[in-house]
Order: sequence, then C-alpha cells, then structure tokens
Amino acid sequence: MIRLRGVEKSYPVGTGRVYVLRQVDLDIQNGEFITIMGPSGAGKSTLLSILGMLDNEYTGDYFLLDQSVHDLKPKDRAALNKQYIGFVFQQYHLIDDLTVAENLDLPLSYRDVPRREREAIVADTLDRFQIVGKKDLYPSQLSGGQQQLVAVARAVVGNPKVILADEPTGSLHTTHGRMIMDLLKRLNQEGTTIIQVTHNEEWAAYGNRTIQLLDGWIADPARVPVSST
Amino acid sequence: MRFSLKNFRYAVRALRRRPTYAAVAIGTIGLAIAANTTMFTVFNGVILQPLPFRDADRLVTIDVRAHTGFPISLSLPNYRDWRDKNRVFESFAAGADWGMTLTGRGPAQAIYALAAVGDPFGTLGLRPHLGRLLTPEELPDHEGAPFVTVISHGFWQQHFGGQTDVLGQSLVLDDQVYTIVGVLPPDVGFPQASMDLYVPMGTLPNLPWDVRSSSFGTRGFGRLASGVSLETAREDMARVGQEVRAEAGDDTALPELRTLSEFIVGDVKTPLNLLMGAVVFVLLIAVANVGNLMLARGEDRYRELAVRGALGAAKTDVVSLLLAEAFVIAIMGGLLGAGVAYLSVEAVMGLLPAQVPALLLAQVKVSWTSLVFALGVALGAGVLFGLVPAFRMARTDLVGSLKSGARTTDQGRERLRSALVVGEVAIALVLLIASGLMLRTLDKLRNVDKGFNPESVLTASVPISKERNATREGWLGFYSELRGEAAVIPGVRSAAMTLLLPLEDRSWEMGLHPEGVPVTPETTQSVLYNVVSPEYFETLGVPIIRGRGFTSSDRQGSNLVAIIDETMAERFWPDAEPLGHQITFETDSASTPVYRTVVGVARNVRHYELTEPSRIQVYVPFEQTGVRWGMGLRIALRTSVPPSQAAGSLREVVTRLDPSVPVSRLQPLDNLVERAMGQSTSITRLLTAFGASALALAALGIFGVMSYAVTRRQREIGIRIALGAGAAEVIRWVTTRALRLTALGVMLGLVASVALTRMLSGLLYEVTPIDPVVFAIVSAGLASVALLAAYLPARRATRVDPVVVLSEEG
Ligand SMILES: Nc1ncnc2c1ncn2[C@@H]1O[C@H](COP(=O)(O)OP(=O)(O)O)[C@@H](O)[C@H]1O
Ligand SMILES: [Mg+2]
Repeated sequence: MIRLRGVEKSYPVGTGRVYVLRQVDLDIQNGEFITIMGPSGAGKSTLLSILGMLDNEYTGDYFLLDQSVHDLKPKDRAALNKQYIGFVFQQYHLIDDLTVAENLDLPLSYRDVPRREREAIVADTLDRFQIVGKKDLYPSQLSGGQQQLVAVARAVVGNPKVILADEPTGSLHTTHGRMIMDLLKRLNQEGTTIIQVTHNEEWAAYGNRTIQLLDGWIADPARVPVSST
Repeated sequence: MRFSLKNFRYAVRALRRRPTYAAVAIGTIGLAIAANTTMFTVFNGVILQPLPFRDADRLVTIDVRAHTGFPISLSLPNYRDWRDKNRVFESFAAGADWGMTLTGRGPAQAIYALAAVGDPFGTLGLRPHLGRLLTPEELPDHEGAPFVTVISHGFWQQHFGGQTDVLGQSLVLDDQVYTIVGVLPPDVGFPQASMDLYVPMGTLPNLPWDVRSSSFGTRGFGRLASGVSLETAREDMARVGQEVRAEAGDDTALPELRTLSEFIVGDVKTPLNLLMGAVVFVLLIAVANVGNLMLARGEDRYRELAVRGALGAAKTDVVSLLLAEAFVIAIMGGLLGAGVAYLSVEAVMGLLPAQVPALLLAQVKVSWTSLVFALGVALGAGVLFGLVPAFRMARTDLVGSLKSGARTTDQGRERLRSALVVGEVAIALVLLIASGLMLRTLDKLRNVDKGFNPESVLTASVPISKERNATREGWLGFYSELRGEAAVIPGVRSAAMTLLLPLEDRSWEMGLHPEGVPVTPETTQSVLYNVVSPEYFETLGVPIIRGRGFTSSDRQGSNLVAIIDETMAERFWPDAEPLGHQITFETDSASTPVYRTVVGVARNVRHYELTEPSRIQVYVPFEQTGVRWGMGLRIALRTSVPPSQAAGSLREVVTRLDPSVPVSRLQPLDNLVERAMGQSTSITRLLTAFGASALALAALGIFGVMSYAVTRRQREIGIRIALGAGAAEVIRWVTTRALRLTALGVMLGLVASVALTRMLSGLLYEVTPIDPVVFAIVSAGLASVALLAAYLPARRATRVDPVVVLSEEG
C-alpha cells in the first residue's frame, strides 16, 4: 500500500545541509500495524509527516496505492490526504474553542460530506468511542486520556485507510495509554492500517512490525532484534 | 508614577529600532491630527474668532419684516425713524449693494459698491489703510452727498498697483466722477471683504428717499451702546417698530435684530459643525488603531517588561515606560499633523462651500492656536491609546509569565483588540453613510428637473449707460441689436435677453392680482417677475406646456400678454383653463393697474434654490415692459459649441456696439447650477474624504487584528490543515472571523447612524437620513473592504506549516 524508495530529507544549516532522513526504503502493506521507534531526533515525526503528506519537501519516491505522491500537484495531494490519512498527535491538538462534537465534525467539514450525513457520522463516532456524554464539553474540560480518545475519534471520523499516530500515548498515564492502544488495535483489526511512533516497548508490541530509526537511517533489520507478536 | 527623561530617551530609541511600527503609528495619528487641525483652523477662523471689527460682539444687523410676513429690505424713512427713536444703539448705519459701471480705466467694467448712509465705518470700528474713511456728514440720508469714495484694499491693488498717490485720484462710476479719499485695510469690508468700493448713497439718482414701503436692498446695522444686551436691544427695537407703525400705518414693516456675526456666518455653521464632528470621528478611529498597534507591541515587550519586573521595577514604572512611548508617538504625530495642516489648509479652504464669506475665510490662518490645538489633541490621544495597553499590561502577572516561559494567551487582550476594531468599523460606517447620503443628495440635485436646460448656455451681464437707458429707443434699440448680432455668432443657435437668470441669486418680485380681485395690499401675492425677449424659452430650454411663447408681434401697442408658470396656473385656476385670464402686477404712470392676458404656461423653474420649485413666476415680453431694465439685463446664448468658445465673440460684439458697456459675469449657465450645488458638493467632498480615511484606517485595523489572530492561532490553523483543511477553508476561516467583527461593527454603526444622520437632514435633498439603499450599499461595501483587509493575513495563514507548528511543545 505504501512504498518509499530512497526518501531523503534535509535542512540547510550554515553552508551545508543536515540530513534528517537518509535513503529510506519502506514497504507497508494494507492492514499492517507498524511501530516506528528510535531516539529523540531520529526523524520519526518527519517520516510520519511525509507519509501523511504534510511535508512535501523531500527527495526520493513515495507511492501510495501505486500513485506517485511526489509527482502530484499540491491540490491532488491534499485530496489524497483527505481520502486516506488520519492523524493522532502526542499533544492531542484538539481545538480549544470547539466542543468535542465540533472537533469531530471538523475533518468532515473539510471533506464535502453533506451536513446530514456529517451529523450521523459524528453521532456514530461518539457512540462508538463512548463519549456521547462528553459531546458538548470543551477539550479543557476533559482529562488527557479523554482528550486523546477524542483525538483518535477525530482521526477516524473521516474513515481513513491509514492512521498516523505520533506518540499517541506520550502524554498519558499507563491506564489511559492502554485504552488508546487497545483502541488502535481494534481499529487495525477492523482493517485500518496503523503507523505509530512510540518509545514504549509494551505499546510497540501492539504492532506486527517495528521499524527502528537512527539518525535518519532505517536500522539494518539483521542487526537489530525485531520484536513481533 | 515617575516620568523620567530616561524613559523618553528609551522610548525614542525603541521606536527608532522599529521604524515600520513607528512610521505606521506616527503616520496614522499624524494624519488624523492633520485633518483635525485643518478643520479646527477653518472652524476657528470662521466660527470661533470674532469678526474682524472692533468689539464685534456689540454689532447687530436689522432684518426687516413686511406686514405680509415677507422679509424685505430697509426703506429710508424706516431707517430714519428707527435710528432716531431707539435708545440702544451707539451708532447706526445702512448700506445697499450697488452694481456700478467703471469707465475711463480701460474697457468698461462692472464693479460692486456699497451705497452707504450713516456711520458704517465708525460703527464697524474700521481704520483706513491710507487716507481717511467716509464721515457721517458725507453719508447723509438724502440726496446731495459729496462724490467721494473709499476703495477696498483689493481694488486698490488691482487698479492702482498699491500706489500711495491714489488719494485724490478720481473714478468714473455710472458716469459720475468720484474722488478717492481713502483705502481700507486688507481682508475687511462690509458686508464682504470683496466689496470693491464705498460711495455715499446720497450720490445715487432717483432713490425712493421718502417711500416708506420701498425695498431696494438696503440693510441696516449698528453698534449697541456698551452694556446693552441683545435682549434689551430687541425689546427696544420692538417698541420703536410699534411706535413707527402707530404713526405711519399698519402696513409699516417691523425691525428684527440679529448679531452681525450670525448674519455673516449664516448657514455655514451647520456644515462646519458637521465636518468638525466627522473629523473627530476619524481621530477616534486613528486612536483605536494606534491603541491596537501598541497592544501588539506590548506583546513583543512582554519578556523585557517581565525582566524589568523581576529586577524590582514597580508596576507604575512599567506603566510610565509604556506611556512614554505613547507620548513620543503622540508628540511626533502632533508635529506631523500640524505640519501637514499648515500645508493643506489652503487646499481645504478651496473645498469649502462658496457660501463661506471671504471676510471669515481671511481669518483662517494656521497660527500658534493651531499648533497648540494639534499638540493638545495629540497628547489627549496619546493618553487614550497609551493608557489602555499600559494598564492591561501592568495588570498581568509579569514575573509569572517569565517563570513559565510560555507565551501569554491573554484572552482579554484579544477581546480588547477586537472591541477596538468593532468600534472603528462602526465609526467608519457612520461617516461613510453620511457621505453616501450626501452623494445621493448630489445625485438627486444633479438630476432634479430644474425646468430649464443649463447645458450649452452662455450668459453675461451687459448693463448699458444711463444715457442709453434714458429712452425707450435707446435701451430697446441697443438690446435688440445686440441680441440680433449675438444670434449670428458662429456656434450660437439662439440668443435671448432676460432680466433674471435662474439660480443667479438675483430676483425681482411684484405684487400680483388676478382679475376680479381688488388691488389692495391685503390681497397681494408676491410673484417673481421676469422680463424676457421671445427667444428666452427656447434659449434656456424652458418648455411651454400650454398656450404659446412670446413672439415678435408681442410689441408695444399690441395686446399686453404674460406667460405664467405651472404653480400659478394650479394655484389660481386649479380646474380651469388659465389661458385667456387677466392678471396684473404692474401699474402705469398714473398708478392704475395694468392688466395682461395669460397666453402661455411655462414649466416651473428652480429660481431661488435648486431644491425647491420657484414661487409663482410670471414672464413679460421685454418690448411690453413699462420699466427700462437696461441696467440689469442679461444676455443668454444657446450654443452648439462649448459655451466658453462663444465668449470672445460676444465681448467683441458688445464692444463694437458700445464700448461703454461692461461685459461681466460671463459664464456658462452650468456654473450657476454648480454654484447652487456648491455647499452640497463641498460638504460631500470633505465628508467623503473623511469617510475614505476612516475606511482606510478601519481596514488597517482589521488587517492588524487578523494578522495578530493568525499569528496567535498558528497551532489551531496547523491542526486544521493537518486534518485536511485546504487553502480555501483556511482563508474562509480567517475571513469569517474578520466578517464577524465587521458584522458587529456594522450593526453598531447602523444603530449609531440611525441616531446621528438626522443631524444631516437639513443638508439632504429627497433622501431620507435612513435611506435604505445607502445603508445597504455602504454596509456591503464596508464588509467587502473588511474582507479584503482580512485576505492578506488569511493568505499568510494558508502558509502555516503544520509540521512546524504542531511539533512545537505546548
Ligand atoms: N525546521 C528544521 N530545521 C532544521 N532541523 C530540523 C527542523 N525540523 C526538525 N529538524 C531536525 O530534524 C530531526 C528530526 O526531527 P523529528 O522528526 O521531529 O525527530 P523525532 O520525531 O524522531 O524526535 C531533529 O534533529 C530535528 O532537530
Ligand atoms: Mg517526534
């Protein structure tokens, strides 16, 4: 489903360039649950941004369902993002001035879904994530775990094929973390491809495959022990 | 609070390091102050300053009200009696504007003289620039005065190049030789500084010295004895009026007093008040804008102020630091404003209504008062736009913000900024609606059915000499010949002679009686009386809607005829045929009424004002008039070329026929229409300029607030982009916020407009102060500008990089 070939990302620093991603080759099949691990600064978030098409300043090839993303016009790329991608962030990034229900509605509002249908989808999602009782609350009235729950709900509301989760449990207590991970697992079982970044070995074990990033390189699988379920 | 010099030095340095911010702030406040100072300078000269006469508050003028209720002018018998019987005046005078012909100094010229009686110069407290002024002995209230004259400073400069040997020289005025005895100082005169010269009324021939009911344009004025109030004077003159009436009969007119300043300032007070108010609005918007800028700037200074706080600065020190910056901006703005005002006051005076008397305009000068005003307003504004952010800043917990290191998200400040913008939009809307209403008024005025067609008509005054006017053959002969010659000038389609031109501020009224009504003062109706050659209706484009126009067979000796206007036809014969009825408004030499037959009805002509149909107007063929009008006839030419192109040829024709006839007031008829619209035009121009400034400032305010909001909400925008918001959606999000503020401002502005535009109603024509079209168009226009102003920050918002803003901690 996703194929990266020779993806490189660099920033100009002084007279030279500093590389954040080097020669990244990566194949991800539909329905996989991928964990990306690596030390801080390794380029994990950068990789997710490229996968999520938020970042288009890179070299190399990126194919999504055999579409060459790197050749697309920005408009088509945005359309692809809307169709396939959902994001979950470590800092939740809910919008403070919008209620839970309105936050859920937001991605739909950007996807030309008729209002009627949007209401139904939001109601379904609230129900599915068991946050109906919170729908009129503002993010600041929720606990961290509940906020991330809403954030995940918001990521799936547009029915994406891929969820990109950048340290989704990074700011949560273990119990809340487990709840979120169980949720991601269930979404994966229902068919959504998940790509998560985590520092936590236990959460890494939810995935079927782990990719190690180190200074922008994908570590040689032969030399790094791969944990799998 | 301490204001140390150090704070100011620091403020100046800080501003120099931020030239853009400094320039925008100082420029905004400076231009607003320039507008205010300019208007104040005008307002001060015209309204606030006393008239340029000694103890001007003791000067009053006398209006005369006829027993019929109409305002008329002062007759000489009334002048004598009112002067002698009153107990309140220290001195008394009267004068009549008198058009005279100056000959013997190049081509004959029309000049404006004041024919005076009594002690005008002593009353006004004027002193000569050269020579002496006319004494009361030289200005008797009867015939036989000496032929002496005092000339104005302007006339002296123009005709004698300011030579001092002018004294004792002579001027030939209406064929009489006058000796110049003095020159007035510059910029004074009565009733206008532009009056050319002053002659004794007793030198003029054939005045109705002893006809109490006469009215030929004389106005009385006087100086109240010291300590006499206007009220007392009014009571005394009321007593005098009644006493004279008791002696002279019930149809004697009565005096009414007004201050001279009220008479001279007249109608220009309302528009000037209005414009002064409008310009204060512009200032308020500028203050809100600079306040907003300073709030944003406070944001930048947070860290610095926090450090100062941590080092032990008291809050008052911080406030005084912020105020210092506000004052530096204010003072620089004040100086800039005074400078721009100095340069622009001349130009603005050119935009003022022509109705503002030159006498008062001469008092409009950028002076120390203007500078003090500019700096005073600047400091006031500085306190306003400096204190608000200063106190907001001082109220927040500076040290706390330093500790957390977090960027402040002070909701209150954003609300304050939004509130300021809402206010700006509201004020701008009020000003724009006011100018919209005026623009619509102008449009209505331009398209009003004037009853005549002013396009392509050239007019001129061509008064003949006394000798020519002495005989019927003399004046009729000259004018017939002139008309005939003028009609064949190339490019001229028709030529007409007429006593009156519409909108010329000149009229002649007569008492009218229709057949069957006894000719007595009680039954008199005053009508506008015009004497015209047959070509008049065609030349001026006045449609004859019933009956016929005049023809060459309407001559002396033939059946006496008249043409009336629609108003008269409706008033006198509402359901009947007006043609064939008899009317009278003239008497023959034996004082018996002369009846004429109505042969035509002409469209109503706007004569006195563009905004109102004339009162009843009647036309008489000039070959059938009993009076010889040679001193005041106008010629009108309808042309197929631009009217001014015929001017040279017209002059040539007149000079060829009689070099002693001065051609003056040579102008297209359009000019008279323009002049009638002058006050509206000028108010509209100034209001529109102020409205445009307000709009620009409000747009700047919206731009500032939206830029700030976009900066502050980068994270939110980033999230939205990450969730799939495209450029269009981000732009819509930003502009919607701007529109919400604008809508609130517009709503407030509409409410304020409904309350305030009523003050305009006296200046509007066929437009209600709450004209829905204007309200709607202006609101929509303002909203569009607001959208445009929000578009730039919105574009910037689309360039927010979600990767960057979302990876920032917090
Ligand atoms: N705008 C930028 N300019 C220069 N370097 C950057 C920029 N953004 C990120 N980096 C660098 O890229 C590297 C990878 O960052 P990131 O992908 O966020 O790492 P991770 O998520 O693995 O912690 C880091 O070393 C970071 O400092
Ligand atoms: Mg990261």
